[in-house]
Amino acid sequence: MGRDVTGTVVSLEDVCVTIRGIPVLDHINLTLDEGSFTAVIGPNGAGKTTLVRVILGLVRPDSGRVRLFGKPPAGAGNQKHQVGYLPQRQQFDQGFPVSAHDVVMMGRVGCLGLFRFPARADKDAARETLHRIGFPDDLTGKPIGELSGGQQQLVFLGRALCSHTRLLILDEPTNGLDLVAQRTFYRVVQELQRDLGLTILVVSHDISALAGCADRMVCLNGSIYADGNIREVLSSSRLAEAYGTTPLE
Amino acid sequence: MEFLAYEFMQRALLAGVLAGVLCSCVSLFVVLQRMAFVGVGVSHSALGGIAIGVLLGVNPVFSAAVFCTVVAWAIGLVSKRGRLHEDTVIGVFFSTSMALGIALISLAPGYQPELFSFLFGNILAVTAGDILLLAAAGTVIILFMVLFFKELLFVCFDEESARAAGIPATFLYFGLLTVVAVTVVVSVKLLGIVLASALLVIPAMTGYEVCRNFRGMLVVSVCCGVSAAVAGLWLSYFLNLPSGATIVLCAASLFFLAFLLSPRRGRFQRIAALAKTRNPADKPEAFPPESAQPTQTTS
Repeated sequence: MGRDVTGTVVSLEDVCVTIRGIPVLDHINLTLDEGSFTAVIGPNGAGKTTLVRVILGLVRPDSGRVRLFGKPPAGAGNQKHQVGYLPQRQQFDQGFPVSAHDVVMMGRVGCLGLFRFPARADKDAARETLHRIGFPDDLTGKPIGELSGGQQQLVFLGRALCSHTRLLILDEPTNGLDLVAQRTFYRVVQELQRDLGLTILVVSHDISALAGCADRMVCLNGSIYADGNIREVLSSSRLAEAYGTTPLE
Repeated sequence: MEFLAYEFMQRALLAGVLAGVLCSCVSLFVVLQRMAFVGVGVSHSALGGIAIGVLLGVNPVFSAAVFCTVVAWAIGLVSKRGRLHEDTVIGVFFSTSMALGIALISLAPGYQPELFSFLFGNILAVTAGDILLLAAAGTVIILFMVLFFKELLFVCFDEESARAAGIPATFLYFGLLTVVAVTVVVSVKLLGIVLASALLVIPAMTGYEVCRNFRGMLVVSVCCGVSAAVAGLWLSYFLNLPSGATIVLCAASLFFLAFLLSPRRGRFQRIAALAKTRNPADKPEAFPPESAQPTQTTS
């Protein structure tokens, strides 16, 4: 099924990225195994979002090798829809005329392919996804701009999950959400990983929230400063080096 | 329906309805992708393309179509790759194209009546060939939008996620620019360079004011475009006004009506509430009756 024989979903080998002459990623080596939950932390401007964009094939590295499901991201073609992506909380047009259900249906666009129209099965899949993430049934027809920030993030999570997703990439998913909405969001993500066996990569500043759900943590600031289980990384002296101070203080 | 007794009016009505449907459908994505100023820029740059056609002795519609498509793509390329704001790029290209058009027109010998019909449009002068061209271009454009509808909607809403899902966002963006350029050119003879872009914005904006969903927005947009074309043509006949301008004024009237009564803005609800309070029977009591007032206590 296009799955890498080693069970590796993503691999980056010696990846370097320069943007407008400024080195952003420096000799990054990283692999994500199937079913893992990896958190990438780092200070502002550490290159976390660029790392995600490299994995997705949105940024081409200057050197190094990137593999997504065993293929270059640009050539992942019909497997790209198996990647669910939740970008940094968007400043989208709050008046955009789509409902929560319509937004989740956008997740089906990649797996449907060109020149095919959504069928009843696709609409049912979108409804089922919203149900799975605990989105209230009575809000599915509501315009996206009329939902609260937490509800909007759940809808975007639903969109990322609605396409036979195997790899879920979340970029600062709880930015701007209150504490209750943050906890609800990560609880839903943890349940999804447990129930569907997803591979999850979360990029965030929020170390305390991630410490409760990720099984691996990577500290990035241009290059990888620490990589291991949560306890190892949080107690590593390299963490303070990456942040210039202890981030939990 | 006395005015339909004339053959030129029948042709004008058919052309108006076709242009209304086409422009309204395209306007949905122009508004959702925030390309309104692209439409204005491309329609004004048509002057350069028409002038080239007149000077070279080729069909001005053909030369304008090629020229407008090149300008639209250049706007897209420079704004995407050159890290310049789209409105800045449009400002440069549209004024340059108009300057080129004016310079080239001055080189053409004699008076050029055709140029003035393109500048202000003349729907009453459309020929059967113009209608065929409009129908053919409209069919291709609407087919493009039907085939890529779900992808276009995704790209308009969230381009980055669409790209990540493998949607060919760049192809669709340039496809949309081409669609805008061709729609402008086939509408120029009807509405004129100055007004052609109006029908690329106003119908969808009317739909946007009235509906909270893109499906309803599309339906209202098409209804607005077609009714503005029919009503504008009819009014221009009876009031002896320029038809292109009357069509645009009708569309704008529908927009302002929708804007005033928009459920998005809650004005209608506020007006209804105000009317209710003016009706003494429904007027809420400003103060509770004396008997219901709490007894004042002194400390």
